[in-house]
Amino acid sequence: MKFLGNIFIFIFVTILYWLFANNFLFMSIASNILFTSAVSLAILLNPVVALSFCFFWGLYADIMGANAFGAYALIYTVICYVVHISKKRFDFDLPIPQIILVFVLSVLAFLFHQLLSLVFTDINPLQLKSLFIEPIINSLLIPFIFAIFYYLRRKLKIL
Amino acid sequence: MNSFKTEDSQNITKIVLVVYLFLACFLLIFPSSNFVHSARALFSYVLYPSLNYGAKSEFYLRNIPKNISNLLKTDQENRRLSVLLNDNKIALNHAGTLIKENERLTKLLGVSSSFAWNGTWARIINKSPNNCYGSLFVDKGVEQGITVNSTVIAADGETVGLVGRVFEVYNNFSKVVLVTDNRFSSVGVFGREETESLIEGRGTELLKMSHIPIKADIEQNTEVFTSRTSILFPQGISIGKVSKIYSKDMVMNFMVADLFPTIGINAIKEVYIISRILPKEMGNINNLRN
Repeated sequence: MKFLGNIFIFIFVTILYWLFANNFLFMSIASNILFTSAVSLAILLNPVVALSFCFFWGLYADIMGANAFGAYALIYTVICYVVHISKKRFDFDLPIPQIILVFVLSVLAFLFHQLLSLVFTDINPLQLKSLFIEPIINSLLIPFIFAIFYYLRRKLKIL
Repeated sequence: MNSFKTEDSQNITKIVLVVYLFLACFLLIFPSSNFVHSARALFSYVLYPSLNYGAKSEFYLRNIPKNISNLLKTDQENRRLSVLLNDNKIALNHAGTLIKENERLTKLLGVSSSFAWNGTWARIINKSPNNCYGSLFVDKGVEQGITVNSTVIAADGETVGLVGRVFEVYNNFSKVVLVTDNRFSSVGVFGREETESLIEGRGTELLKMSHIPIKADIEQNTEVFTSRTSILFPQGISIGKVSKIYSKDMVMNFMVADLFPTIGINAIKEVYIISRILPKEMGNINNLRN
């Protein structure tokens, strides 16, 4: 049952991301539903399941993107592991730590993605507007996304 | 027992992490085959076509077979041309409207050059749907030299006729009271003998013509003009044509008739406001009865 629930959540988030990317653009930047969902699940779930979610969402982002294929899969996987390590020391169930975590990780993910693109494809994908605005949007989004996943896991027992 | 379990779980996590990292690095390092590139390009293009519109499209379409890249480029070109075509259709429609308007205004200018009066053309900016036979607003006012009680005429092709008079003047617009307004009246003349009668608006399409002498030379389609005895209107402007005479409804030996206005009030878009120097006292008259 949980396995089916996981698949449902995976597909639902990919569709939601696609809808946001196509229809709800804020200053030409889609709120990164995939990223915030990946961080939320990395906080909530056991690391094996969370790593799987993050890797395949990263792969999906790679398929949708135009840059180095595999870069997002690598970044999301690393992010998931970093969250797994650091959640032993910090309580990420609270909104403020979540906001700080997502802000820092968003900036680092941008820079890491920039590095991978320069190394593997010789193109510069960094847009300054995205670098400055997307981490803020992600940070504002994370408490809500986390609350939804928390509800699905603890109350509905789907995840 | 618990510590063993935790250790196992940690080991599994590390194994899964290594596998995923290896897979991701493998995808990054080794160049994908043409098939993978094509599948990725088609998949993402179907889901998210706008992604390829940016400067990255050349990079995005690298390493994929020519036929697939042509397909995607053709689709992009098709989208671009569809937008262009729609823009052109709108522009063409607009141009058609402008040409028609230009022709109409050219005709009006031609007609106005033959006018015996000086004045200015004004565009109608507002008509009240509740009172379409009462009044309208035009886009000229004090700043354009419009004064209260100025005569307002219009042209329909070669035909020129009375529309009404300026009732209120503001800086950049004016209110015109129409001949069809039920508070409007004027003296009209018809026939060779220039017989006078009273023309009144009724708030409908037709005007009322009263005080017509019994022996007057009047029949259907007789044209009625403004009279020289009218205080406000210059003489000789067509008011309308007689559409029906009520000879049996005589009041004190006068006949009554219906008058069809020369200018259809609903069709006019521009009016010509005649500039005349009226006596100063006239400027304060706001009584619609002439």
